[in-house]
Amino acid sequence: MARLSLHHLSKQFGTHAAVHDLTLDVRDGELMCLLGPSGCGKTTTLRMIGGFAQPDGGDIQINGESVVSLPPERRPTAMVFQRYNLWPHMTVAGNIAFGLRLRHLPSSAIDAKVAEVLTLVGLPGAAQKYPHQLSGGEQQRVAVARALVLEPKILLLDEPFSNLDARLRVHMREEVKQLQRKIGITTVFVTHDQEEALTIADRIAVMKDGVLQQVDTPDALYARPQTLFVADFIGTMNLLQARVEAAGHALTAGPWRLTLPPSHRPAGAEVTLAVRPEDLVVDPGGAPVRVRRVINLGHYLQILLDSPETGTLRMFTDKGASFVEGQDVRLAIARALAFTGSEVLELGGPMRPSVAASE
Amino acid sequence: MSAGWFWAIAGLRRAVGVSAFLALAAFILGPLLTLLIWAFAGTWLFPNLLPEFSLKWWYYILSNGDVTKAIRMSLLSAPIATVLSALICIPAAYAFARFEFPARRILLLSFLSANAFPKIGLYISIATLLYKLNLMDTLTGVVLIQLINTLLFMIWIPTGTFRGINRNLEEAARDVGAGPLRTFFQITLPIALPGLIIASLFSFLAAFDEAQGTLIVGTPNHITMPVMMYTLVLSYPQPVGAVFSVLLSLPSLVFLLVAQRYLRAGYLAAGYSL
Amino acid sequence: MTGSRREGALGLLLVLPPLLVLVFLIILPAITAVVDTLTPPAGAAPGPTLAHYSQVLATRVVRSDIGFSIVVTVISVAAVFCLSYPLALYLRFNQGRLPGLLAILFTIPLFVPVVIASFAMITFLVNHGLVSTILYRLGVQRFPPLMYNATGIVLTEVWASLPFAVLILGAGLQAIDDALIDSARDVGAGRLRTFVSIILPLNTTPTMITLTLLFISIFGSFTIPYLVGGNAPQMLGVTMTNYLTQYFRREDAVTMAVIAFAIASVVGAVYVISVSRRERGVL
Repeated sequence: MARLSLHHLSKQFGTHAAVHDLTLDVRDGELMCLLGPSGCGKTTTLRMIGGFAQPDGGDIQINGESVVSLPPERRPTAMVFQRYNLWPHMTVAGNIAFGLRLRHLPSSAIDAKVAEVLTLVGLPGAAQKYPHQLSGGEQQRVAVARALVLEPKILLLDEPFSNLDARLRVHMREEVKQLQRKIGITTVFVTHDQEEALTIADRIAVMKDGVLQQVDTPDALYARPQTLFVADFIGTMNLLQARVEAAGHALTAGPWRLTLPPSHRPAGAEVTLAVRPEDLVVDPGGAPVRVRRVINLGHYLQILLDSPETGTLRMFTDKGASFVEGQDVRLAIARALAFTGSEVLELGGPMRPSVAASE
Repeated sequence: MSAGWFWAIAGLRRAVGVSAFLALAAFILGPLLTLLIWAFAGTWLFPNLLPEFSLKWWYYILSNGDVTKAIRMSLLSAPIATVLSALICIPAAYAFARFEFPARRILLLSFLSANAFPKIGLYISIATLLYKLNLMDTLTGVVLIQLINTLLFMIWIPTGTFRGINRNLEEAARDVGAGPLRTFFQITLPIALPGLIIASLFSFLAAFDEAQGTLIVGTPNHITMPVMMYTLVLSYPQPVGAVFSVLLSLPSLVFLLVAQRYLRAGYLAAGYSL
Repeated sequence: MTGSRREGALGLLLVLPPLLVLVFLIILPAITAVVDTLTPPAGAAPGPTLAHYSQVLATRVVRSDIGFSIVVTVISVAAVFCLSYPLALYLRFNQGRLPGLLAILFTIPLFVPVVIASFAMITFLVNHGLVSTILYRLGVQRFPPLMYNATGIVLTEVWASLPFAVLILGAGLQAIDDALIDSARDVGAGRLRTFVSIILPLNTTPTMITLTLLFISIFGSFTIPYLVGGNAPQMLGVTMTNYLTQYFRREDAVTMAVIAFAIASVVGAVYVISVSRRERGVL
């Protein structure tokens, strides 16, 4: 069982700060996702944890002990790379047993462990096969098996499924989640796919340009993003430019006027309003917006709307609702987040359940 | 009016292709074929298309003391040069492929550039140096000359080979507890083996076939087979040189067959595409 | 020491052995040779001098040999180029049994030692050799001598250099994506136009590499002209070696070597520039 903590970690490549002042705690048994677009520093961070990159500043601690000066072979971490995990000149059993042999275990014990871990990942008959005889998904499973057989304290996964086709990817990440839950191993999982993170993570650390934006549970990230970037990156979000009225009692965003409660008085005049698609509701007292397109996605409808002041808006609604292209509908904003640059104000009612549940 | 109509007629195109092939085949195989026939010729009088066949020249050659000495010298010096070359160049190739160090690019290019100068000019200068070191007409001198010829193959091909091995494979080994040396010997080297074998084959052939420098440095007591060829070609009847040529080509043929096998090795492709 | 500095030191250390061989067996002798040729002969005034060079270049034989070497080399390079480019093109754009056989055929000289190749050529082309026998049988009784002269040298050099040229040009052609050629044909360019406007320019670097390496290796070659060439004029490689091993005029031989160096390094510079431009993308 292990806790992982990163303290003020930083890494420079030339003049470019790949990771900047990153402080993060991963709890024992937790599956933490590092999520962000390409170049945000998530893989660099993972490699620093594994020992494949040296931080320029900061510390990495496992159970309170610093591991930063240890080479990869002496760290209690195990990594599954995106590709090129398995050694092509060894069988599956050879790949898995390699690390065990280094620890001078008797060969009967090694064989038993290899068989056990292959069963765990669902490939009981694969021991004598060579990597090139396995499919992409099977190879990654063997890579996971090889990582787990050494009983590491921390499991590190670097976008392990992004090379697989979509269906397999969904299946594999569910398997990994179940495996991780069953064993209870502390895991750090890097991905650029926010849906993947939302599905499997206990907590997600969102990164951008080397800086940590927010660390929270998937629910909290979705409902209460703390930066505009996170609001836009997680799920779908409508972003509207809003102006605060002179007296500060209300703000205007496009055709809508939202009252500001006395406790919420933003400092400046310009504010960005973030509205989830499911928080746009039909209301006879609402503002008129034109329906541009109705997209039927099976169990819900996605409506594209235009209003001259706000541009295209996206709305999710029940499949039974009747919308016609070209129609003018009256919509109200049930809930919104106002980003002032220094704070986030929550306006409106509690989060409405999203009709667009992940498939 | 373009000549397009000519190419459009498939029959004509094929005829041109086939005759070009035959012409090229005649050019390339003709000389080799002639030599082969000569090797089994007793006497070949003009204008007969074929000679009287005989194996007498084989007995002549193989019983010649000088010839056996030359064969022994070749079979001694070339392997030594190749092994020595592998020992010093393969770690260097790994460094070129994996490490960052100052002047890396320049140093790598310098090995290529050394080949840019006329060999014979180099050999004359080297001969002067070896003369001062008392290495003329010694095995060491011959090995050094042959070594120079292998440097290019032993640096460039292994560097490309190591570069082609994805770093993840080595990092995975470190990850499960292997130190850098163990990783190199148990992971990198086996995967790189086909490329290294090809490099060694080309190096061996370069060392074995080296004649110009060895002529200068090895005379008169450390003559290799190719150097002996010079005298045979110039001073003996044609069958003698022909027989010797067949003998001299045997290593090349053997290695051609070995190379084929390694170019087809199963994990050669797999390791780079997994 | 930081990790990267340690890596740098280790890298230099590993590279040191072959580097030392390169420096001591190639670079140092070369520099010593050049210095030697600039040293005045015994008894003359001290200080660097070009006396050796003027003396060597004053010899008519040497001058004609230099000229001969350049001419023969240029002709050989041109011949190899004209033969190998179409071959490389053919192999690039055709599949099937004939191209497959052709591919094996052209690599054969690669595995034949130069000494053997020369000798084979002699038996093939010499007066009363196979070619003349066949021609005689076909009724052609008189034709110019093909051996022990410049023609013999050119033919043999072409034979030996063919695989190398086809391989390098072929690799360059392989790197040209089919899509680039298809789009040219798509907008209406014929074969010749596609070759001139698309293929040739995109294959410039391998072409430069091929031409310069061919020039350097043929210009400085010894074995082929030694065995296959005539008595006069001779290629520079033969001249040099004769001065060394037969006339024992080492200083003059070294001087000629440096002259050959100089001529080759002009071409060599072009080669190194082409290669480093290409390698910049890969390194």
